[in-house]
Amino acid sequence: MITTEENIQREIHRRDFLRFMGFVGAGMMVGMGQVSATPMLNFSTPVKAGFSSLALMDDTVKLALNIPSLVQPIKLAINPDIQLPVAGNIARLVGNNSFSVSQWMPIVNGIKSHGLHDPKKNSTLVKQINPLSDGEGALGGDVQRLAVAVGGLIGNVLEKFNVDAKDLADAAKKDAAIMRGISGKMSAITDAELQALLKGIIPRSLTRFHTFIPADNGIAWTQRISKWRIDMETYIAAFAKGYLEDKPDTSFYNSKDPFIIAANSNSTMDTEALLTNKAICKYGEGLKKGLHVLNTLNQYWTNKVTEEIVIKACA
Amino acid sequence: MSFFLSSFLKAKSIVTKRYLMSEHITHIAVCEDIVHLANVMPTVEKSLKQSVAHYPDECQMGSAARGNHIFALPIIEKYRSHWNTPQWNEEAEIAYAFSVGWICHRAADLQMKPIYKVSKSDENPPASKKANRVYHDAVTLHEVYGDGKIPPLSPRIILSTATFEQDMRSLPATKGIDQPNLERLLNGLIQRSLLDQQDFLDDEKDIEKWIAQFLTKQQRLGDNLQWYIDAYQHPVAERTERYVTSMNYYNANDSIIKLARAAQQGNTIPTTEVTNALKTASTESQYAQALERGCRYLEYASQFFRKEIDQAKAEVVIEISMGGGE
Repeated sequence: MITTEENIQREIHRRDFLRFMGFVGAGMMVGMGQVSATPMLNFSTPVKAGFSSLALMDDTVKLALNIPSLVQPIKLAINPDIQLPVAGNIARLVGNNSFSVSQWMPIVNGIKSHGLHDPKKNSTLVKQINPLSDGEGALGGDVQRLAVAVGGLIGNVLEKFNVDAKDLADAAKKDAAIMRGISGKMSAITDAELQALLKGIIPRSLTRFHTFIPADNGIAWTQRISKWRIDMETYIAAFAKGYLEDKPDTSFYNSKDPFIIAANSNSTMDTEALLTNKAICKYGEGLKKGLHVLNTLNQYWTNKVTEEIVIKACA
Repeated sequence: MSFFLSSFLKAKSIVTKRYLMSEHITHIAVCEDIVHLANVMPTVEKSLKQSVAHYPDECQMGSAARGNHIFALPIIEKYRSHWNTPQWNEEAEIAYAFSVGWICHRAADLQMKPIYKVSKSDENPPASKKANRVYHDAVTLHEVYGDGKIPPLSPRIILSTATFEQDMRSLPATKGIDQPNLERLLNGLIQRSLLDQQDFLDDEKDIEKWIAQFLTKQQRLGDNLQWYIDAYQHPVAERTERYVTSMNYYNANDSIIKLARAAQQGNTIPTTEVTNALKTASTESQYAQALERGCRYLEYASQFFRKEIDQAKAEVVIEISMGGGE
């Protein structure tokens, strides 16, 4: 249905209002002693956060793939290969959300109790994760639902360890510090060269999408996408500036953190042994917590611990 | 069919027709070439031209979006009474720029989609069943954008040979940053921030419905970029012949394409030449025919703007009512 001009503005303001109320509401829920997700990130711009939460999720998954006897459903649900148009691409995107652990667990339990299947396509899991697949078998099915549920659970957990950024430019600067840590020592480059690289990545992403999927209110969506494009330029400029600073901020992401070292290592490390380490930065603390949650979830899947233990791990 | 049922089916098709033709580079290229030609067509409304001139990026993003059949005409209807009044503003122009992009998207879809069935019918298609359009994007990057040397209409779109290159190695910045990891994370940021523009994310409170919406509205990285890199860097002669040459995808000597290139380079193109070229385009390449189709659609959209035809008639002549496209 097409709304009036006033409705479009109202819609945009309503979304901002809802986000604000989500923040207030979440605070009230915590105050009442109920299990609640942390508030949505709240930059009043279309790009609401940098990629720090994605980096945390990806590294958590890298560590989790070393969990001994990791069950196949969870392994599929957190698959980190972005070349695969399946689960791992989904789990990492859920991030911080407004649903609580007690809302996510029934989804997990439903799949845990009856196993994985793909009712829509009647396709095998092997086909779904075939790297040569063109994605035709990737729609529907429990793997993707489980990916959302695990992504939802872990997304809220990791958000507590996410970077504190006051606005988009600040988030970009902190993302840049993460990339400095990941990249290590490399050759000198200029601001213009770096911005050209980031801007050049965008058409590659859009190519892989085929097309934008508009929101239900398509007219309001045009205004949001217009602002989103401007935001991306703001982000890129701030990222480049932050990346090229002489002394990047390592308070959030410190390459010497044992969990970060383990995530960047190709060798496998015993999960329980790794968890005995002490993190030396907030990002590392997030990895430790995320790994603990996924390790517990894996134990729950094989009935070694109870659901209450999983909920406790997420707290 | 009732209006509500019709609207429902249209809305549903935004997310269910996922595998139609929709290669990004070709869509933005066809769009900007149509815009260049339409700029000298007196039959195309100034409100449309002005909006695109002010918001070229929005126009090209519209050409890269689904939903043309749902939003393009209602946008024109919504703001047309504002034109030449104080109510005409940035919001209207952004929406109109998107509408033009959406209409151009439809022209490309309806022109190209039938020929994409060729690779789908192949018993053993190379890399994917989408080989047609992968090869078309590779050709378009070279022919329309000179491998990135000719900038797109939107200054925000940056193309180069690195667009379809492994890890973008030819860009100097890749010596100073871990490109694969940067792309992994930036891809995620783009996907996640586009999800943030969706209504359901905050509005849907039922977790099962939320999951269902998430799965259909997330921007999947559905295509493997390697297909495009291979087609662009190392095209296979047999596939080029099959997917590009034999179906006459693009011919730089087509009169309408020559005019589009001239306008792209900043030259003034005479209206009469465009008019004549549009008349002969039906015998030229698929790309030329897509340009003709788009110019024709914009003329009809202009008639709709002037209330010379109603929405039902406009949906027939812009080939919305016949289905297809996305």
